[in-house]
Amino acid sequence: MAQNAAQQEIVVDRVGMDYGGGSEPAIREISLGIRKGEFVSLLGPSGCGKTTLLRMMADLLEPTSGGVGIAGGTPRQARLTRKFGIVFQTPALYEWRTVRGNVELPLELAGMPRARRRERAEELLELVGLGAFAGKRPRQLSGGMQQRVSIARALAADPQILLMDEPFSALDEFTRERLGEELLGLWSRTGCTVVFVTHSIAEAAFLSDRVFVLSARPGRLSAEVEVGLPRPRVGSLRAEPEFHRLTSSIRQLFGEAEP
Amino acid sequence: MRAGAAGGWKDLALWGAAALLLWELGSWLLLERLQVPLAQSKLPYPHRVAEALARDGGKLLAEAAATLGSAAKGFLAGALAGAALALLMGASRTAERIAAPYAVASQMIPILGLAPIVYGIFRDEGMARLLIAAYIAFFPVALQMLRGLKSIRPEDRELQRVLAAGRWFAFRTLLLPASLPGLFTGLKTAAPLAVTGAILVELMGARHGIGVLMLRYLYYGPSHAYLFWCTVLLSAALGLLAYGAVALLERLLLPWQRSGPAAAGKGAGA
Repeated sequence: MAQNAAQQEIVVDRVGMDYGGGSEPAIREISLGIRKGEFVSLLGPSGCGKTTLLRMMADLLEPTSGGVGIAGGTPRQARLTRKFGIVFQTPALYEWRTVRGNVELPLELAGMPRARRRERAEELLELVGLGAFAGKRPRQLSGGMQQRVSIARALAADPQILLMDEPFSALDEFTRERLGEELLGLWSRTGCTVVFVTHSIAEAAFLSDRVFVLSARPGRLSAEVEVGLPRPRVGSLRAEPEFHRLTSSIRQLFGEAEP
Repeated sequence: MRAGAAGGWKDLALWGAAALLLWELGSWLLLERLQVPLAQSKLPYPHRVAEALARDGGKLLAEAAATLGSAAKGFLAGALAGAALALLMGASRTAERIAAPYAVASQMIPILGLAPIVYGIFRDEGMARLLIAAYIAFFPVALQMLRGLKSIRPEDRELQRVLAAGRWFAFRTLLLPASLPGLFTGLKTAAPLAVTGAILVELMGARHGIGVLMLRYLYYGPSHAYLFWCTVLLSAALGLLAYGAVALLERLLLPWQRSGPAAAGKGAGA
């Protein structure tokens, strides 16, 4: 893995997470590499450590063994130099700020002057289809709209990596699929690397270049699936037989992984 | 929302009128029908109380203003101390562990006992009123504001971490605004309490304040029953005024508390 580290945006090297206390480790020896500009999913049932792995990349957790390299440095360096944006499972918007104010938050930290900040935030909101809602409060928006604001905020400071922790799991199926399609549009425009955590096979298959399939107890990498579906992908792809073949083959991987 | 508020005022006026009528009736029953001794001290005619208020209103209001003035100063001092303590306890577990038991213990001391001690030390009624009002206001403010700080969602904090935000930025953009609803809950509890605290000190010996008049009229007995009731009602009005002022400030400073559908269920007191 070290030899092609040049094109690798994220390298996970024999990472383990052991909370101790005699219980099984949450993660055992996971190694994987993610290329620059790639869209990958970490897919697995709850307890497989997919969120834990993402949090390690984001420097919100430290592995008990092994190491994570991201954007050519440690997660800590990447965080301090603001190389990645993050979208949580909940929108995590500050309700005392307007929608625009929430998107401006990373720009404020970057020291951007007020007028440009405002302009940039509105441009981003336009991009996620919420241009008309800039002055609203977060709680005046639906769950799907709130998560869009959260994505706009994560992209505000133009990060080269976007980390997403089950961002659509609290949304209904229709909203979820629409947001997935919008996300692909954003991704192709920004060219950033996306790591997307999900427990939905269809979602992972629809969005990703590659899917890392994790299994639980202990969390480990059980398969790596190359998604050959052509891009740009649109909603009708979900009805195609090749899409079904792909999702059922991934589903079979889980069947094998379970004891 | 506007229509709802107007309906609220109409209801309030209606209920108020009904209560007054009942009061008048009860008063008449006690005095004329049941012929209870000292009936007017027990439940005076509201129109007689109103008469007394109209006659001596100027003097009563002047004394009430003195009470309100020191209560307000004490309230501010107590609120500041409470907010500072909450922020300190919110920032450091250790500070919380050390300070929390004392903050709770402070509430075990009866004000009735503390007031003469404070008065004895400072020999100044203004200072004593201020300190007692501050002492009473401090606790609910600290408690509620700390609760607000502790209810910050973990992902809201993690966002600050991912953004590599400094302490001051996190304080300004997350901790402070997140603690404001709690702060105002505490302030709304504390404001009327500060007024009662100030009145209590006046009852123990002071030259000015609505409490002084209350005590005096009580001593004068039945001949001053109407005036006594005036002081009691005025004290209640002071408490309401204090609460209303804080509630108004909350509406102005925390507009997000009211916006959207979720605000309807959480709009307690607003």
